[in-house]
Amino acid sequence: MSGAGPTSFSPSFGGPRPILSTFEGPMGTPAKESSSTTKLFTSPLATGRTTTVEGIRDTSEAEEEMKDEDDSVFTYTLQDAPIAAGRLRDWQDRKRTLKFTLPPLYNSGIAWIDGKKVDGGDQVPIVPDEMKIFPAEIPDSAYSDEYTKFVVDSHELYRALSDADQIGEPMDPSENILPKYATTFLEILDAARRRIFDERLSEAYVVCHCLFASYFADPGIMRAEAVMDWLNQYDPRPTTEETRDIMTTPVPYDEPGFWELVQKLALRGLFFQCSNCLKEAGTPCADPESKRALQTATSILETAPKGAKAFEGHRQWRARAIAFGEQCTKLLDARLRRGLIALANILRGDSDTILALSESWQEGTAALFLFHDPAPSRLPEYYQMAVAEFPVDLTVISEAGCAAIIAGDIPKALSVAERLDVCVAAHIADFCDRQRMLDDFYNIETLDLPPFRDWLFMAHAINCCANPGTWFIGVAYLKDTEGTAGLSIIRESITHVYLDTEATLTELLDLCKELQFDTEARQIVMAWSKLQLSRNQVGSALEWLDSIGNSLEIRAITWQLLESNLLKGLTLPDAILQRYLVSPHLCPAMIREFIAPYATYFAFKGHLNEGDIVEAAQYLASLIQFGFLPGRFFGALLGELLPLIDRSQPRALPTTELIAIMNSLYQWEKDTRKYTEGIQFLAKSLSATREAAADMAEDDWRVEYGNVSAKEVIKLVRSKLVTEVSRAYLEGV
Amino acid sequence: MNAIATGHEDLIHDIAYDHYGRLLATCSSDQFIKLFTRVVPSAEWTLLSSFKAHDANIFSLSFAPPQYGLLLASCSEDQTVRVHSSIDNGHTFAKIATLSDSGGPVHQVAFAKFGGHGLKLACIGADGVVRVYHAADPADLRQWHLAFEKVVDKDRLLSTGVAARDLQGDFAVDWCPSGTVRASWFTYELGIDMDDVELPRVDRLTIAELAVEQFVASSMSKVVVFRKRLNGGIYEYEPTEELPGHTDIVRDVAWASNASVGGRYELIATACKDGWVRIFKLTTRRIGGVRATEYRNGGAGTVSGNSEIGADEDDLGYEVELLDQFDHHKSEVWKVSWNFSGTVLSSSGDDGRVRFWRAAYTGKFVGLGVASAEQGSNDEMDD
Repeated sequence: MSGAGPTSFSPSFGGPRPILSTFEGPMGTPAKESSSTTKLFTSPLATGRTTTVEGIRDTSEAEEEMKDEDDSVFTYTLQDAPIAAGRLRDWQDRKRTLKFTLPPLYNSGIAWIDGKKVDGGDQVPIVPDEMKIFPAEIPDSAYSDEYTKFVVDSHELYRALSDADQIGEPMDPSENILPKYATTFLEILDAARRRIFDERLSEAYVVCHCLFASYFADPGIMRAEAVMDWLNQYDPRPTTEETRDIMTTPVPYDEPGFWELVQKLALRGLFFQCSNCLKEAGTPCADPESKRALQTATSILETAPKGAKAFEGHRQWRARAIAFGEQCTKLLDARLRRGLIALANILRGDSDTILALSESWQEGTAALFLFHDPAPSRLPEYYQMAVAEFPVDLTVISEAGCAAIIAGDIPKALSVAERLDVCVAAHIADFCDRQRMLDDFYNIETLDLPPFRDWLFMAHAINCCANPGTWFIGVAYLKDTEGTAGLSIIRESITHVYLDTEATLTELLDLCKELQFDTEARQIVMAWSKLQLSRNQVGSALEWLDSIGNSLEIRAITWQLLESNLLKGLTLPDAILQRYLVSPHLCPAMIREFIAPYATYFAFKGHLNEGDIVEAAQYLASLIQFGFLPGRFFGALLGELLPLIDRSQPRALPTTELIAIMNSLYQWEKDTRKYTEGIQFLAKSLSATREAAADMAEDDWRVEYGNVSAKEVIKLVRSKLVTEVSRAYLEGV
Repeated sequence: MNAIATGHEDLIHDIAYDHYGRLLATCSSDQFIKLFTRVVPSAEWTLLSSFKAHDANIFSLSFAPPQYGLLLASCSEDQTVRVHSSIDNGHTFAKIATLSDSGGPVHQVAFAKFGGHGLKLACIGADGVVRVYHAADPADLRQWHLAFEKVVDKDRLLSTGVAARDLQGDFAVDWCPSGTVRASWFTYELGIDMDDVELPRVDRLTIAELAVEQFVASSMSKVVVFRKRLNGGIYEYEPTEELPGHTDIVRDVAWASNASVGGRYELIATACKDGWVRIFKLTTRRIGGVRATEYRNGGAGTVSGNSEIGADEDDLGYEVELLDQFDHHKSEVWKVSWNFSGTVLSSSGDDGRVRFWRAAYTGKFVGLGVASAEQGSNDEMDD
C-alpha cells in the first residue's frame, strides 16, 4: 500500500476529467496561509487570503454595486399604503411628499404625507389618507415574541459560556468546552427557525451549522463527518423518494439509476444505507469473484472509520478501498465492474471521480474531505478544487457564507452572516473569538475600529436596546465589549427606558451606579420625580429629588404646593407628604427646609378647621412675614387673614403681630413687581372661586369675598388690620 | 401595523416623539396638535388629546427632556413658537409661553436633548435667523429669554431683502444629541489624548462631564454648525463649520448620536432638494498641531477653513468630510432621521419611499431596506 497516500493519484482510476492540475499547489497548507494556491479559485469570496477590513468593505461595496445595478435592496409596503400601485407620478403631481421619523429608542417609526407648497393657484384638495400616519419599521429589526425568546435563550447561553470559559487563555483541546456550547446554540437556533419560519433565520442556521461543523465539531466525531452531516441536513441527497423508487422495485439492480443511487449514498458518507442497497439489490453474482467483490464492498462500507478514532484509521481503510478497486478490474460483468470501480474510487478519495459525481461545490468539498484526507487543514484546498468545477452562487447569501467558512475566511463569513441575522452573527463570532480564529484579522488596519466580534455584538445589542423587553440584554452585551463605544450606547439609551415601575427605576439606578453614570442617574431621578408628581405622589417625588440633592426642584415643588393650595383650596397630601407634615423630625433636612412655608400653611389650615383661631392666626402671620415668601403669594395669604381679623369674633393676633403684618404689607406694596404679581395671583385665586364655587370648602375665605376685586380685598385687609390694632389698643392689650 | 387616522382636518406637517417614544404628537395646517399614546402591549397608537395650538399652519414640534416634565414646543406660520405643558400625562396641555421674535413663519423648533444648564430651545424661520431660547430656572418654564440669534445665510437675506416666505421647509435645525460628545471635546480642551491616558474606561466617560452645546442649522442651501465656545471669558454660540456641497435647498438636517463610535466623531445627515442624502463626518481637528492647553498658554495656532465661519484664532474645530451620499430617491429628499445610536439613518421624499441606511463595520453606510408608500411593493426588488 505504499505510495497510496493522500496525495497519490493513480491514473489507472482516472475519472471523466483530468483535474490533476488542481493539486499543483502546496498541499496541506492551512487556510489562512494558502494565498499561493488560489489560481483556480474563481469566487470573489474566496480570495485565498486572510480577510482584512478592506475585504469586509468590499462586501459592503459589492452590496452597494448590486443595489445600483439591480436594486436588490429588500422593499416592503407600508400597511394601508396610500399610493395606488403604479400611480406614484399622479401622487407626485399632487405636490405631495413622504416624510418619516424614527423614535428616540425603538425601531418602529412613523411615516406621513406632507404637502409641498403650491406656488400660487389653488391648493390641492386633501384626501383622507393624507390625514393618516403610517407606522413603519427599520427592516429586520423588530422582534416578534418568538424571536425575543431566541434572543433571551441565546443570551442565557452566552452568559453560561462566559462563566465557563476563560477568555484569552489557551485551551487544552481535550478540555475544549466550545463544541458543547456550540451544539446547544445550534439547537436553540434550530428551535427558533422552526418556530419563526423566517427564511433569513433559516439561512443563518445553515451558515452557523456549517461553521460549527467545520470548526467546532464534537470531539467524538471526525470533522469531515461533521461537515458531511451538515451537508446532509442542508441538502439531503439522495432523497427518500429517490431511494424508495429504486429499492422497492423487484430487482433494484436492474434499474438504470441503481449505481447512481449507490454512488450518491457513498459520496454522502451514508455507508450503511449504501451497503444495504448493495445487499438487497438482487445483484447477479454469477462467479465467485463478483460475489467476493460485493462482499468486500459491503465490508468496506460497514467498517468505515467513524468517531474520535476515525482519523487514525482512515489511511488503512482507504488502502483497503484502493485494493478493492484493483480487485474489481478483474470482474467479468462489465456493468458490475464499472459500478464497483466507481464506488471504490469514491471510497479511496479519487478527486476526479468525486468531482465528476458531485452536483455542487458543497458536495464535492465534503466528499473530498471525507474520503481523500480528512486533515482539517486541507479543507480549504478541497473547497478550491470544488469551486473550480461548481462556482459559488453568490445570490444565495447562506451559500456565500458557507463558502467563506469552508475557504477558511471567517471574518468574511461573519460579515455575510451579519446580513442574515446579526444575533446569530454575533454569537458565532463570539465562538470564533474564543477559539482565537479572529486573531489574524486584528492588525494595523483595524486599529481604529472595534474588534469585529465586539462590533457585531454592538449591532445586536443596539437592536436589543431598541426592542421593548430586551433592553437589559442589550446592556449586558454592551458591557462586555472593549473600548468606550459600548458604554456610550448604554449611556445614550438609558434615559430613554420608560420608568414604568419603581423596580425599573431601581434597576436603572443600580446600573448607573455600577457604570458611574452620575449625570444620567440624576436625569432619571428627575424624570421619575416628574412622573411621580403627575401621579400626585408629591412626597415620593421630593424624596427622590432629595436623594440627588436637587434643592432647586424641591424648592420649586414646595412653592407649587402652596400655590396649588392657595388656588384650589386645601388638598389632602399623599401618605409620605402627610407623614412629613405631621412629623417634621422624620423629614430629611433639605426637604424640611424647603417644605416649611407649605407646612406652615398646612398647619394654619389644620388649626382653622379645628376652630383653634389663635393658633391658626399665629401660623398664618408667620408665613406672611416670611422674608423669602414670593411676592405673588402675598395678596392671597392676606386674603386668608380676613376671617381671622373680623370684629365678630375674639381677637386672634396680638398688636405686635398686627403691626408686623402691616409693615410687611407696606413693604410688599412698595415693590412694584411683587405687588403686581401678588395682585394678579390674588385675582386668579378669586376667579378660581367663581369658576368652581360648588367645589369650594364652606370655610374658604373666598366664598364670602369671591365677587370682590383683588385690590379691594387688599384695601379691606388694610382697613381690618387698622381696626384690629385700634381694637387691641381699646382692649388695652 | 395599520395606518392611523389622526383626526386632523388638513395635512400633517410634523410628528414628534416624547423622550420615551410612548407619546406621539402630530401637528397640522388645521392649527391643532394631537397627542397619541402607545398602548402596551399592542403597541398601537390611540388618541389621547387634541388642542388648538396656533392661529395658522403648525410646522414643527419638539418634546423637552422628561426631567422638565411633559413639555411640548410648536412653531407656526403665525410667526410664534409656543411652549405647552401638561401636568396630567398628556391628557390636557396649557400654553405656558409664547416666543414671538421671529420676523416670519417659524419652520422648525427643537429642544436641546441634553439636560445640563437649564432648558434650551432652538428655532429657525423664514427670516433665516436661528434663535436659541433659554429657560434658566427649571422651576419656572414660563420664563424664557432669547439667548442667541444669528442669520444663518447672510447672502440669501441680502439678495431677497428679508426672508424667504414663499418656500416651505427650507430652514431646519437640530441639536447634537450626544452626551458623549463631551468626551472628545473635554479631553481635547485639556490637551489630553485619550489613548495616552491610563484610566478605566468608565472613568474616561465620567471625567467628561463638560457639556459642549452645539447644533446644526440650515437656511436654503447653506448648512452651518454652531457651537458654544469660550469667547472673551464668556461661553457663546458661534457659527463654526459649514457643511458644503449642497446644490439646492436643504430640506432637513439631523445630528446623530456618536455613541456607537465612542464619541470619536460626529455624523450629520442632510436631506436636499437636489435629490441627495448626505452624511457628513465631523472629526475633532487639531489646529497646526497646537492643542488647547498650548493656546491658553499663548500658543499661536491658526484655523483652517472658511474665513467667515470659525474665524476666531483660538478655535477648536471639526474636520468636515462627506462620508457618504446617496441619490437613490431620484427626487427631492425631505426628511432624514437617525436611530438612537447613530447606526441607522432613514431618508424619505418625493419617491414615496422611506429608505434605510446602516453603518457597516468600516463606518461607511450601505442600504438596509426600503419601506414603500406605494401599493404592491411587497418583497419586490426596489425599482
